[in-house]
Amino acid sequence: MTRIFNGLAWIGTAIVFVAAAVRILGWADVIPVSARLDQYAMYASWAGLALVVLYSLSQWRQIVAWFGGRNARYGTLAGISVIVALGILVAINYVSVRQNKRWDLTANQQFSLSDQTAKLLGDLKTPVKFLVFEQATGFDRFRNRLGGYEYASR
Amino acid sequence: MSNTLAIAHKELKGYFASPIAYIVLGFFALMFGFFFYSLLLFFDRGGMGGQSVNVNEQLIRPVFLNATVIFLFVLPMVTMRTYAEEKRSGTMELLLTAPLTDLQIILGKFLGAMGLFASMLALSLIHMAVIFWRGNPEPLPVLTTYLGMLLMGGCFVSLGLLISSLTRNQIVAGMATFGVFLMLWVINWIASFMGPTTQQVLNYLSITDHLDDFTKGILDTKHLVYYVSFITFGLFLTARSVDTERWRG
Repeated sequence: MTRIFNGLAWIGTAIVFVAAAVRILGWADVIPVSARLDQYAMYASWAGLALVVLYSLSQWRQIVAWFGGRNARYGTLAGISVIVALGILVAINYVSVRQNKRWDLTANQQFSLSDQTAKLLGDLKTPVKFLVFEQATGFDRFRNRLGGYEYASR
Repeated sequence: MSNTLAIAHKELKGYFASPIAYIVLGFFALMFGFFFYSLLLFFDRGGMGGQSVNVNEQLIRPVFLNATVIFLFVLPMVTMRTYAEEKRSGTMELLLTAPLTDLQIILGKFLGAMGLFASMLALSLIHMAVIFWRGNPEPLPVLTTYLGMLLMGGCFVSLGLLISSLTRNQIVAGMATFGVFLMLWVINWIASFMGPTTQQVLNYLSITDHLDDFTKGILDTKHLVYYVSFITFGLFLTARSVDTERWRG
């Protein structure tokens, strides 16, 4: 009986991983995934999850024992503190990207826009969309300049 | 504070009492000197073309961007021993029971490794002195470059401390640190193939992307915030990891 449950756990985990890989790769456009396949992957991941849950239920004795222990208490505390810290830092970074300040310290203001450009950009009433057609290697130049436009038009 | 400094001092002494510091500094000087010399020759020949000659843009910036590759290789070797060595030699218990807080120990070890890193960077001041003596570069972009280097090194050191605190084997710590550094280095290579949001996130995570503006002479609060939060999070995780040592059976 135990061996069957162990086998179920491994099969379930494998199914979940494969299904997740298919869906993620599909979203990221690495491999073409049809809508139908995506749906099957979703069903498969639920089925895999069900198998894992089934396995966990069969191990309830050990789980209860572990949660009563000291490790669980401290481990949960540590885990929560890490998640909270990460959340705070992500929030700070999220704000800092949107509210950044920039100082160009070069003598000629080499990486800043001219006053006229900055003024023009500051007066924009509606969002402006740029389309850039260029070879992949040449994008950096434009990305920097467009970043400058974005900063000046805030 | 004085406890932290005492540990930092002890760590630095540990580096300089063994051959580690001299090997690290010596080979850094050799490699940096070679990069400097080869890029100087390139610059002397007219460099990448273009109408104007700018020592900062065409010599100092490429030299330092190349030098960051040396840090990628050297820093794992500096940080790999910090905690792994303590665990291996059995001094971890002494450290944990000493009348010091975890934070003091971690900051001390961090400052110690940063001290070695700063001495490494200080070697490049010789080359900068030569440029300032013979040429006419702008000083402020050079200062921001050094600031960026220190911050990036700080990220590497904090991450290295964390990984070293997870294992008792130095080689494992060194290799894992190198692997994670390298991933953070190249994570935005795939960015241009992703959707717009993923692209922004990946570019933001890339540790080299934030250095670029520093080497140009631009101070941007978002890069400062990124590096400082990276260092803080690395040290925080190290603290948690060291703390588990107390209760994990």
